[in-house]
Amino acid sequence: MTGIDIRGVTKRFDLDGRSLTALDSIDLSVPEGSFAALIGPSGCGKSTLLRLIADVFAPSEGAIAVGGRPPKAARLNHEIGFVFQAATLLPWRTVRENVALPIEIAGVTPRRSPEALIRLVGLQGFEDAKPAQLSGGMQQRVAIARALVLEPKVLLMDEPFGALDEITRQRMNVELLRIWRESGTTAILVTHTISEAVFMADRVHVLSANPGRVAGVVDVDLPRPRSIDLMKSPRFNALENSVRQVLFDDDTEAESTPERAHG
Amino acid sequence: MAERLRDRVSAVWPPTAALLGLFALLEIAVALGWTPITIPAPSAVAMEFGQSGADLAYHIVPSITATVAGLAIAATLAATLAGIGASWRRANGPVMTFGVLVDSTPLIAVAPILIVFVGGGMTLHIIVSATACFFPLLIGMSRGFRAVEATADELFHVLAASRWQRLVKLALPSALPYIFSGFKIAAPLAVLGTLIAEWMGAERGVGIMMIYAMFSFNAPQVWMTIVAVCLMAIGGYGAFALLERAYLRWAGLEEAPT
Amino acid sequence: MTSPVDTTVDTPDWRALPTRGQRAEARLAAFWRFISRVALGVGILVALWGGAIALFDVPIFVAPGPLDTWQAFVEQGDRLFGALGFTLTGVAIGLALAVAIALSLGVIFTLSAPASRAFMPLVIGLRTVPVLAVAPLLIMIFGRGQGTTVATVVIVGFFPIMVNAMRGFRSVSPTVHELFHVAGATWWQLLIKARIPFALPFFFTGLRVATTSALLSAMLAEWLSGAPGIGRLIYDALGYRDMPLMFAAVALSMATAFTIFGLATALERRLAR
Repeated sequence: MTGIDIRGVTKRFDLDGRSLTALDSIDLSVPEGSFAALIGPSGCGKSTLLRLIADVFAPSEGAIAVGGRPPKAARLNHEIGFVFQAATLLPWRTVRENVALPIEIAGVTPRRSPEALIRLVGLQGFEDAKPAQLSGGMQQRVAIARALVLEPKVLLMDEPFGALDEITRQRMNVELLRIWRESGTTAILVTHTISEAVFMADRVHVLSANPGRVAGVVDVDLPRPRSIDLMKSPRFNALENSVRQVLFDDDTEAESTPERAHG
Repeated sequence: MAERLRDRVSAVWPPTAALLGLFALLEIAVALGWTPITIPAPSAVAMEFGQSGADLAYHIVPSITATVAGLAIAATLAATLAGIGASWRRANGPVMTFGVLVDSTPLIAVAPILIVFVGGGMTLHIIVSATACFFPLLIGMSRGFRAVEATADELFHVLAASRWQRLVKLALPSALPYIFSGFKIAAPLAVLGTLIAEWMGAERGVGIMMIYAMFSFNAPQVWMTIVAVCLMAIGGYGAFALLERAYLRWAGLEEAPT
Repeated sequence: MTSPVDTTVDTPDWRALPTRGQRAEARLAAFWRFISRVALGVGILVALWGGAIALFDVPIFVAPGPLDTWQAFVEQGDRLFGALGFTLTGVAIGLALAVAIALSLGVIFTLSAPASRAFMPLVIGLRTVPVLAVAPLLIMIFGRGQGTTVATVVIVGFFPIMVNAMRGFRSVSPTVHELFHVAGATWWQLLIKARIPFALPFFFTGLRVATTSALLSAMLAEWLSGAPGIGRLIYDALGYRDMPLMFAAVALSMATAFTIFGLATALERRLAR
C-alpha cells in the first residue's frame, strides 16, 4: 500500500501577519504504482501540495497518508524521491557523487548502485563529470537518478522539465515514462503544460487558483507504453481539450467574479 | 588555448608598458633634476631594497605576525557573530549594526584608549589590525552562512538529513566562496591596521621604520617601506585569491561571488 | 514560454502594493527604529563605561567616567569644535578635489580605449593596496599644514570614486548604445543622456565609500603631521594626560564618523534609485 491519500487538506500561510489560503479542502488520491499529474495556473498551490506530501510543510487542516502512514514517517524512512524544477545538484560533487548523496545521508546500502541509476537515465560515461559540464537536460537526468537511487515508493516532481526547451522536454518525457515503468513507483508530476500532463499521466488533476481547489479530474485511458506519435492521435487531442475545458471554465468564472478581478 | 594566451597577453601588455613608461619618465625627470627630493628615481628605491634589505627584513617580521594574528582573531570573532546572526534571526540586526559601528569607527580615535589599557606593543598592533579587517569578514561570513539555496535546503529536508550532514555536506561548501571573498578584502585592511598601529609606537615593525625614514627625510627609504607594505597587502590578497580560485575550480563553480 | 499551450494565468498579487503614504510611513518608522536602536546602544555603552570606571575605581588620569568627559566637553567645547572644524574643512576640500580628479580621469578613460586599457588595471590594482600607507610621504611633500590632510583625503577618496564611476559609465547596456546610434546621437548626447544617468548610482556608491574613509584618513594625516585638527588633539591630550579631554575628543570624532556614515548611506540610498 503506497498509494497517496489526501483528505480535506487546507494550507494557510502567514504573510506579514495576514493569513493566506493557498489550498482549500483538497481531496485527492493516487493509486499505488500509478502516474498522476497536477496542473493549474500559477498560484493554484500545486507546488505547495507536492511539498505537503513530501513533509516540507504540514497541512493546516486535513490529513495526508503516504502508504497509509503520515508523510513524516515516509520521509524519515527515505520513501520519498523529489525532483525540483531546478536540478539542484551540488556543484562540487560529480554526477556519481550527486546520485550517491541520498545513500550517504541515509547510511544504507541500496539494492541498485548509483552507476546502475546513471545507466538508467542514460548518462553512462558522465559519472565523473561535474554538473557545470552538463546541459540542462542532462542535469535534470542526474536529479531524477538521485531521486530514484533509494528506490522510493513515491516520486514527486515539481515541473522537472519546466526550464528545458520544448524538444528536450518531449524527449525527457518519453525517457521519464520508461524510467518510471522500470522503477514501479507511484509518481506525481506538477506541470503547467496540458500536453505534458495528458502524455504522462493516468489521471490529470486540474487545480484552480486563489485559493487552490480541485476543479476537476480527467482520466487518461491511453495505452502504455506511450510514444511521441501518440500526440497526433484524435484521442490525445480530445483529452487535451477536456483538460483545457476544466481549466478554461474556471478561468472565465474567475474573470466574472469581481473580487478576483485584476488589472 | 593559444587564443586564451593571446587574450591574456593583450590584456597585460598595455598596463605593463604604461608602468614601465611612467618609471622611465620619472627616471629621466630625476636625472634632469626636475623633481623634488621627496620623489626619488625608481632605481634609487630599488637600490634601497638592496642596501636596507636586512633592516627591512628585521622590521617586517613582527608586522607580518601582527597582521596574521589580527586576521585570525577577526575571523574567529566574525565567524562566531555571523553564526549567531544566521541561526538566530533576531540577533542578525544587532550583529550587523555592531559590524557597521566597528567599521565606521575611526581607528585613530580608539587606538589611544587602547594604548591606555594595553600599552603600545604587539597586543595593540594585533587589536588594531583585527578591528580594521573585521567588517568584510563579518559580511562575507554572514552571506556565506545564508548562501544555501532554498531548494537545496528542501532537498536535504526531504532526504531526512541530520543537522550535521546539512552543515558538512551543504552549508560549509556553499559558504566557502563568500568566506574567501571576505578574506580577500580583509587581508589588505589587516595590513593597513598593523601599519597604523605601528605608526603610533613600536620597537620593531615596518610602520616605525617608515616613520624613522620620514623623520630623517630619507625619501628612498620611505618609498621602499611603502612598496613593502603594498607587497604585503598584495601578497595577502593574492594568497586568498589563489585559494578561492582553486576552490571554485574544484567545486565546479564558475565565478566568485561579489 | 516554449510550451505549446500556455495555461499560466496571471493572478493578482497576494500582497497589495503599498501606497506612497504607506511607504513614507514605513521609512519614517524605520528611521525611528534606527534612532532608538542607536540611542539604546549608546546608552548601554555609557552605562557599561560608567559602571566599569566606578566598579574598578579607575583613577581619572587613566580613564575618566562619562560625567568627567561631559564636563571636559562643555568646558573645552570651543577647542574641540575648532579642531573638528579644521579637520572637516580638510575633508570637504579633499573630497571635492577627489571627485573632480576622479570624474575627469573617468571621462577620459571612458572616451579613450587605449588609455583605459593601459591605466585601468593599474588603478584597480592600486585599490587592493592600502593607499593610506603613503601618508608619511605626503607629509614630506606637503609639509605640516592642511595641505597634507587634503592630499591624504584626495588620494584615499580618488580610487573608489574613479573605479565606481568607470563601472557606471560602462554599465550602459549595448542595446542602449544601439538605440542612441540608430537615433543618430552625438557622443556628447550619449554622455549626457545615457552614460551619466546610468553611472549615477555607481558614482554615489563610490562617493559613500570615499566619504566614510575620509575622516579616518584626515585624522591620521593630522596626527602624523601635527596639523591642529581633532586627530592631533586626541594625541596631544594623551600626551599631557588630560584624559577627560581625550575621551571627549574621541567621543566627538566617533559621533562625527557615524553621522557622516549615516548621511552618506542615506544619501546614496536616496539618490541611487
